[in-house]
This record gives sequence, C-alpha cells and structure tokens, in this order.
Amino acid sequence: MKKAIRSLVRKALRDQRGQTLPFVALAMTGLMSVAGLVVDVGHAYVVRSQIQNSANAAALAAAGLVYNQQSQTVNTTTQADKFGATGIENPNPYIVGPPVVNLVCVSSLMPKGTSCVNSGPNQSPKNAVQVTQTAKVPTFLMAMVGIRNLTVSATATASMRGTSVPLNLAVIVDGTGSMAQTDSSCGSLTQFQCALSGVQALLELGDPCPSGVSTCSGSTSNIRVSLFTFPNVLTAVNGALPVVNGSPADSISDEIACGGSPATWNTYTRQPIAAPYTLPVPGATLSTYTSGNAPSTYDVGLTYLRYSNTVGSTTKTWDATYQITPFLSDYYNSSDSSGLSSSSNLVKAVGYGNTSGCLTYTFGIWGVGSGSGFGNTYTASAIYAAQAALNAEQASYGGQNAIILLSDGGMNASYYSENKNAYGSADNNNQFAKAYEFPSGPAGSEVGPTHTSPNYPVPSYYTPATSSDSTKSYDTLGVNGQGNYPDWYDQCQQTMQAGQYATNHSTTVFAVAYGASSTSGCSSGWNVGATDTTTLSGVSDVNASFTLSSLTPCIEMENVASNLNDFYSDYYQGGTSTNCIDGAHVSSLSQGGLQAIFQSILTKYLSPQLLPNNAQ
Amino acid sequence: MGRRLRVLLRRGEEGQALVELALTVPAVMTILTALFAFALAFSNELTLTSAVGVAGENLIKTRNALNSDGTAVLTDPCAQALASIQGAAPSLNPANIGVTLTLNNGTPVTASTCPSAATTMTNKSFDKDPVTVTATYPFILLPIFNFKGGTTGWMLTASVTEYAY
Repeated sequence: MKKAIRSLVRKALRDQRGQTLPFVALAMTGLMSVAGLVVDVGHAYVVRSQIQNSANAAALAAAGLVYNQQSQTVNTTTQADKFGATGIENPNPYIVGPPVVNLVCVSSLMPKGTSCVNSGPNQSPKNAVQVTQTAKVPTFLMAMVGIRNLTVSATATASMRGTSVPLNLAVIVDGTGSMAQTDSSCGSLTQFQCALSGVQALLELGDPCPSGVSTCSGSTSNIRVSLFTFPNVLTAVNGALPVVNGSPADSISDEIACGGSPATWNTYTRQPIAAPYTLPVPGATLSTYTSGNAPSTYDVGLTYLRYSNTVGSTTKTWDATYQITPFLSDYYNSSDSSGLSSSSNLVKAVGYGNTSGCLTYTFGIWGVGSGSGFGNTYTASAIYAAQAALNAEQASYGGQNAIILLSDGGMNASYYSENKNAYGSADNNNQFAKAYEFPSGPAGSEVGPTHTSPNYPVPSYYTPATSSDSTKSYDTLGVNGQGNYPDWYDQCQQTMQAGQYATNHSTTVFAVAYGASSTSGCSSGWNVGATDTTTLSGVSDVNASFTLSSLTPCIEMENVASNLNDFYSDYYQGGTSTNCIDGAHVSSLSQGGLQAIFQSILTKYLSPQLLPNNAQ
Repeated sequence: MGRRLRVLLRRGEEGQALVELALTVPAVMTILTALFAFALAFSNELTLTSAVGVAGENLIKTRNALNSDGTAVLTDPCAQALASIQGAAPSLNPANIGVTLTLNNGTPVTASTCPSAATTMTNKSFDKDPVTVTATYPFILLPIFNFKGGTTGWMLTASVTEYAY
C-alpha cells in the first residue's frame, strides 16, 4: 500500500499534465482579489464622491437659508435633508439615514477681535452649518471573502448666509467736485453716478431680513445700511432752506425723492446745499434731536450740526449732515426683478428707478462752469461721523460695524471762507461760496464767516473772524498747523488716521479707491500750498509703506482700509490717468468696475462658503 | 489527420504548458481588461462627479452676479457649466463631455448652449429655484482601442442639484 502511494506521488510529480492550472487557479484568486479591490473600492470612492457633492449642496443650501441663528435649526435640517443624499434633490441609494446637521461656531467668521464661546450663558451664535452623510456601499466581489459592504462618509462645512452677527454698514460716497469727471468705462456716467450704481449693486445682493420675513428693521434685521456723503449737506429742520437762484435749495428729503423735477448739473435749483464741513470729535456720541419740529423720517439719527438764523421774528434752523439716510433695512424686494424696493429712501437716494432723476446730478457739489465743480475734499470728518453713527446703531441694535469709503483720495479742503479761485468773483450773496467754508477747530472756537446774508445760516458756535475774507490768516486752532485733526495740513494723513481709528474701534473699513492718483493729490489745503509735511503720530503704514514725500491718494486709501484685503481700486475710470492697483485682488475685479467691487465686499458677509471641515 | 494529431498529442508532455496557457490567457486577459476598464471608468466617474460639483457651485455663485454695466454675468448656463466641468476635469476628453441642465426639476435642457435659460436663472423671481447639473462621459470598454462598445456606448453619469441661496 505504502509502495503504491509512493509510486503514485512519484508519478504525479513526474507528470507535467495540468501543471499550469493550479498556478492559474492561484493567480486567479489574487487577480480576483485585486479585481475586487478595484471594482468595490472604486465604486465606494465614487459613492463617497457623490455623497460629498450632495453634502456640499446640502450644507450650502442649509447655510444659505439661515442667518446666524440657532433658532432655525429646523429649517436648516429640512433644507439639508432636501439637498442631501436622502433627499429628493440628490438621492443616493446607499445612504444610511438622513444627514447629520450640526450648527457650529467658527471663530474666523466672528467679528474682529472676538472668538467663539461655545459654552456658558454667553454662547456665541452659530455661524456655520456642518453636514455629515454616511453611506453603506454593497460590494460585488469582496462579498466573496466576507466583506459585504464598505462604509464611506462625507462631511461639508459652510458658513451661514450673512455674518456671524448682524451688520451695520455705513457707505460713504465721495460727493466732491472731482467726482464729476466722466468715467468712460462706466457708460460715460460721472464718477459719482457710477459710485451710486455700485451701491445699488451692493443693495441688490443682500436680503437684509431673516428667511421667511419680508420686512424687518432694527433688531429684527440682519443688515442695516446707511448712506453718507461728503461734504455734508444742509437739510431743513424748521423753515425753508436758504434761497438759491431764486428758490429754496433742496433738502435731503427732496434729494432722496429727486425733488420731482431734478435739475441739470449746471443749475443750482433743486440741489441740496453743501454745508461747511462739520468736525465731529472722534468717538463723540452725536446728540439726537430734542427740540424744534418733529424730525422727518430722514432726519432721525443724522450726524448733524444745527444752524439757526433769525430774521426779524422768524428763526430758521437747518442741519448740516453727512448722513443721507439713517440705517435702513427696507431696501430689498425679492419680487422685484432687480431685488430693490423702489419705496425705500435708501434706494431712492442711490437713484434706482430714476436714472434720469437723482443720478443726473449729485448731492449738491457742483460748481459753476462746465462741470469742473470745485474741490474741497476732506474725508476724515466724514469717517468720524460715520463711526459715531455706527456706534449709536450698535448701541441700539448690536451687530458688527463696517464702513465702505469710496473716494479718489485727493484732499484739498481750503481754509478760505470763499473759494475765489473757483468762483472767479465771490461775493457775499453767493451762498455756495459760503457753503464751502471749512470751519477749523472744535466747536465754539472756529473761525467763521464775518458776514451773514439774510438767507444764510451761521452756525451758532461760529465766532466771527477779525480779519476780512481776503486776508484771513492760517488757522491757528488746528493744533498749530501740525496736521492733527482737524487741520489744513496733512489732510491725507488725517484720512488714514480716521480710518485706522475706526479699525481700532472694531469697525471693518473697506476702502474703494476710485481714480485715486498715484502721483499727486496729497498737497493739503487749496490755495494754501501746504503739503503733508509732518508725520502724524498714530498714523500707521499698515498696508502700504510711504514717506511723506511719496504720499499719494492711492497709498492713503490703501492705508485707510483695515487690511490689504479690504482695499479695492477701480483704476479704469476715464478722465484721470492713474496707476493705483490693488495688489490684493485680481485685476479682473477692478476691470469689473465698481459694481463688482461693492458686491464682492458684501459677499464677504453674505454668501455661504464652503469651509474646511476643521476650520477654527 | 485526426489520428496523427491524437498521436502527436499523446506522444509527449512538452508544450502542454503552452497549450494550457493558451487556454487560460483569454480568460486572464478578459479579467485584466475588465479591471483596467473598470479602474479607468471609476477614475473618470470620480473626476466627473467632482467636476459636476464644482460646476454646480460655480453656477449658483454666478447666478446673481452682475457686470459693471449692470448686465448679468450669466449669459449661457449650459456653456458655462460645460466650461466649468472641462476646467475641473482636465484628464477627460473635453469633446466627449455632455451636459444637461434642469431648472427647478423641470424639463432638462440638453443643448450645449442655452442662452434662454439664463433669463430664467437670473430672474429674481426664480433665483431660489434649484438647478441640476448632469454630465455624461463615455464608458470606454476597451481602453487600449478606445472602443466604446457601440456607437452610443454606455455613459458614465454624474449629477448634482444645487440651491441658489
């Protein structure tokens, strides 16, 4: 028997028939394993990719539905379910259960200087949506070795629509003479008109109300926008405004509504009067109306300076204000094709729906002559005014503050009470000349106009100058001409100082340089010849370094911004030859014009964005 | 003839391995080819799926965007979606990618350009409607010969539905 077996084995070993088959069988096992790996793991990866897509869609859809609130968890989950892999929009057969939706707080989305608090009574609102989906993918070939399915999961995190807290936004639009130049890359409108169309584009983007709410204001809204301009303009409180060219000048309410019959730029009728620059003290809480006629809707909360003028027994009062509208949230109308509500004062003020109206002229900045306008640009005071208004808004309704400053940055406010060069022959009856006076120093101590015409208001704090107009001396109250706010000297640096002041008070300052020169324009003080000569303390070259001799409006605007990413430049406008390019943004953005710039600013606060899942 | 062959076959065991190999090679090659085909298909499907995701997100982002003159950026959603997919999937043959758009789960738009769809998509009244991007790419049966298995062939499909916030 043994022998027989031995012989059989020997025979089998010698026999080469069928030898390849075991090898093939062995190789097949390996091959099938690899095939199984390829097919099943490959399939699992595809499914993972699919549920990642639907997780992304679900997170974005859920985040797009809510502003930063914890109370809308239900909505968020519903929306995530709909666009997740279990839902009707992106169904996946292998998904296990509905998507897991978590609302999380990401510190990088919080206002400047704050971070998420995730426990205790002062918890931060959630500002991001995290969606996790898991799928069990059945295997084909791996099932043969006992692995019946593979589990894959995908997580997506998206920032919620809106900001981590509501946004108070002050938009400051330069309304000085230099903005009268035509921008050939903007439909040959004036720069000022183009700037307003940029603001329109910004308003069109953002529904300020929470989802499902059609009207909102104050504490119930997520975005509150106020429009500012400089120089500040007069608005009537009691009595008609000064008579100009035979009829009373427009009040702001007329300006907002276009006065029914808007004027052409070269007639003064129906245009608001630019008032002397008022000089809010940085950080001051501007008082609110306490007496006089009941303020109109437009007046509430204006950062104003009151003028009064008594002729006989009649006292007229006017206010000079930088603020054209208070903080409003009524500008959005989702059922309108543009998204704007034409009944909102803010929308009216930026000219929507009336392009032949408000947009044909500006906030009363035009000079006589063929559109040359006159200069008188001084921005620091407008920034302080906006900051004061933002503080007040924040105190009432909370939220975070932001300023968008659009300007060419060329500073040239004059110390003269009358711009004789601009007017040729100014006289005492020319209220526009008077309107462009630049009061210096704090309230109560300014050098002011020496004479009053019956229709021209004199600020109550003015003390008459002792010398005549033509021989007025340099301001000595502006800290010895050392450039500190407010002063004729170093106006560009004061603008930077004001921007950085706002930044240091937790306001995000966006600077939009619009035709800002990169060669000249920081020679402060019209007719004075004073240039930026003194380095002001506290002015930092945060975004662009400079020496005083190389300081230009472009650099100035760059340093006004809270950081380089908040600086934008539209250097494609016609009428000026500039080379002011924002290094932080691609040139195509600048080419897209002001509307693209304004939209991209608000988009930072609006659109849900996918974030890394481990975002802090 | 048959007898001679039988004799020949019976005579020795040399060459038997060759014969067995010849018998098994087609099977092995089939499996290997299938393996390659599947691997390539999965790779393409992965690329296509992620590219479709990118296209969908891009589409809803540009949906409300405006040019400086106030006109909508989105003029042709189909062409834009196709361009996005082509850009996000450089390893795929751009000419073979097909795109279908569906607005608000309605009738799919299959044309490669669809300017009229832009009117709907950019209209404020419809801008919250979801948009579905579906892309197809041929499944290549024999990668070496680029044989697609018939004129129409099988198609890899990927789709995503995005919500315009």
